Amino acid sequence: MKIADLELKAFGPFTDKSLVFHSDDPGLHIIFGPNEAGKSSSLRGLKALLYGFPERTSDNFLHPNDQLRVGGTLQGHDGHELSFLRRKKRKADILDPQGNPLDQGILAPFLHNIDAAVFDTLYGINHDTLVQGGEDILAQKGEVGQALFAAGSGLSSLRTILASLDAESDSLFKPRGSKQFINTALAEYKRLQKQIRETSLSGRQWQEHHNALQKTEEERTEIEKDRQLKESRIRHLKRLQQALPLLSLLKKHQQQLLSMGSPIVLPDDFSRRRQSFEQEQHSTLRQRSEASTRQKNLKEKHLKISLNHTLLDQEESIEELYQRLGGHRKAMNDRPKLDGMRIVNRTEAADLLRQIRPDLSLDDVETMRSAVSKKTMIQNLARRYDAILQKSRQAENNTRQLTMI
Amino acid sequence: MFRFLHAADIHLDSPLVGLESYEDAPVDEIRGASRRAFDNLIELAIDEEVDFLLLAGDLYDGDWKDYNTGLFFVDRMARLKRIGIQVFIVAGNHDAASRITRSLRLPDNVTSFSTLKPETFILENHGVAIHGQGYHSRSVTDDIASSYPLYTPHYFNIGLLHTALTGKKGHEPYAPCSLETLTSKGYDYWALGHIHKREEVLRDPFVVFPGNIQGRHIRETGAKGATLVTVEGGDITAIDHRPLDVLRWAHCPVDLGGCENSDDMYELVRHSLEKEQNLAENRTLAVRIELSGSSTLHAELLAQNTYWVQEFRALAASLGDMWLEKIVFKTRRITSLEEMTGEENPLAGLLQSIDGLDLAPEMLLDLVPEIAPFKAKLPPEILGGEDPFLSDDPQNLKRLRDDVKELLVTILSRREGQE
Repeated sequence: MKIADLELKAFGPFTDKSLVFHSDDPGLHIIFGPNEAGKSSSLRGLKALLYGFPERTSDNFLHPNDQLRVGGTLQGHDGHELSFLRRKKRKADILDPQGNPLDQGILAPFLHNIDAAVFDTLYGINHDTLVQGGEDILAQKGEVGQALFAAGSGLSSLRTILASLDAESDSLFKPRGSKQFINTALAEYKRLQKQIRETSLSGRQWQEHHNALQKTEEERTEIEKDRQLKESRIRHLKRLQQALPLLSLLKKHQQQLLSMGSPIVLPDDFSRRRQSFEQEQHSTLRQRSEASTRQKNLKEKHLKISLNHTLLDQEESIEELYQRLGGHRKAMNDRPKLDGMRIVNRTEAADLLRQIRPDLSLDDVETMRSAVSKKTMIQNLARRYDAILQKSRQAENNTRQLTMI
Repeated sequence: MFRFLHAADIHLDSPLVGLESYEDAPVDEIRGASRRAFDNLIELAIDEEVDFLLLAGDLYDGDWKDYNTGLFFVDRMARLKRIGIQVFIVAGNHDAASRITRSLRLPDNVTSFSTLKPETFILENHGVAIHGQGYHSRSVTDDIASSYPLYTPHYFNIGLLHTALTGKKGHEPYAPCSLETLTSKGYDYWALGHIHKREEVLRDPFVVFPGNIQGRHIRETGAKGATLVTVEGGDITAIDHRPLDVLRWAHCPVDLGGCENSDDMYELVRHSLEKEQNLAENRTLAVRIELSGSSTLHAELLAQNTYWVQEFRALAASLGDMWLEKIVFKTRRITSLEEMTGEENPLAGLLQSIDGLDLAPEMLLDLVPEIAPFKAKLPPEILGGEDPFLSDDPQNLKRLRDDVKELLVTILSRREGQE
């Protein structure tokens, strides 16, 4: 590819500046100028033409971003020429000279797949890079191969690149290091593997634990049994302990009982009965004391009494008299009344006697005793008299009736 | 009618590997993932009231020694026992190697098949005959399926087998057998295990790999789970694959071919991540972003690698429940370095001399003696395994060479920006 012309239409300090490289013979073109003439700007302009404007550019101090334009004509190996413009835009930034967008791929045959980075490295060397390269050659002292490679490839700092690669390698791994990335990763890996080993349980381990567990459980069962036995023994002993004072008491009483021989068993109501007996006894004693007092008194009285034996000898007659006294008293009581009745009766008898025998006095009445013995005969005669009287009257009646007739 | 659940390759407590750690990574969400996935399996068995559960090998990781894993398994089996679900197990290559398997005592609802000869268990109430044999050693290279008995007449016959069939990429060729061997037995359902990706190898009879129940690294992507089989009148009437994984692995390739600028790239990555997130049905995602394609962004990604890794991690964190397993940069220049630099210049010379280097291990050691102490410090897991560090595989060497070239050219071209 050859560059036929480069038109810096609106770029950096340039406005419609044209660099023309027309020549019949192939050759070397040198663009020269004083400082700040725009040589580096022209190189940037060429790069922008071939690869597009970068997202940020420092070449917009005169022309605003949307006005930036570079143009040019490229000549391919086959002599084919292409004239186009480049504007600053993300897409469709390649235009034909009339301003119509061109296909992005239209430059490919000219660029031979060299991308921007490689273009920079191989063809876009600037003054600074050259100075840097020279200094590198001096600094590397005899590493001529590297220096020449650097100069040839346009690298200013192969030394720095190598150093940075070494540094990167060192930061990744050092055989005896511990802080490097891979070293730490390896240490961590080892640690984790150890952790896995430690946390995992092997079958043998499990079996051992399992056996130990079983053995321990059997032991526990044994111990448990033993414990139960002992506990029941403790309970037994505790009961004994509690009974101990009572037992000794019992023993004491039993001995006491033995020493008492065979006792009389009192009935249940003994106490009550005893009480009542005691009361009785008490009252009897009192009665006795009273009686003896009385006896004493009586004895004293008795001593004081002097007996009248004469009278006592008449006891029977006194007793008889005493019994007859009652009749006597009664008769004495009855006498006045009977005297009264005797007077009445004598009077009456005197009346009756006068009726019958006025000639006699009462003192002579005894002479009539014989007539009284004829009383029944008199009464019979009386009754006979009445019946004869009755018959007489009857007969009178009959006579009268018959007379009448 | 009866139903059973077929799962395999549980790999209980197997760690999830390859996740790069960073600040916003959802560390808690992935803890105990394989156990939670196994719990999902138990829940499914109980919820669906299955009659029995088949586990076709590899309950544990062979080199995993923590007995707690076995105790966890016993606990969950005991849970099934309480519900009355029987479990049938064949030992896989990992189980044969596992120390846990040897000393573990399982509840009596769990039936382990002999590792010496094929056995048959009959479930009279369902009319089912289950045939199987476990692994007695880590690598069984005999065709053990060929000695399985012929089908038991008038029963629904199931074959339980841990096998790689005729060989699968990325899996050890254990218990090799052909499909013809399997079909010749006259079984109704072959419950296989060992291959971690679900596959219905055959439908008549059914030959099924349910896959593992939880992906463990980026090569085990997509839904993971178990197969639920319904049998009515001696015929399989339904076969469902039920996802059980709690963490979903997703590979998320993004072609930056059409990207004009970094905004386009960011949007494209975001779109791809969202798509994966939708597919994961609320599970935590572990995603590998692989940026590829020829793009003008290649140099940018290379130069600003750390920046973009941070950006994408922040993006994943903002989407939530997402762990960026790794970001793989596989973009290419639109044109090669050689083409770009041309022929007659120092950069071209540098590239040529890099091409001229012999990077075979011993030569590399001459060139960079520091590698020896570095390698000596690295754990075997990094030097070996699926993706060994500094292996002399030609493809690896080419990648190394390309990386060196890209790195140098990028650094050497960055001069302008540094000043």
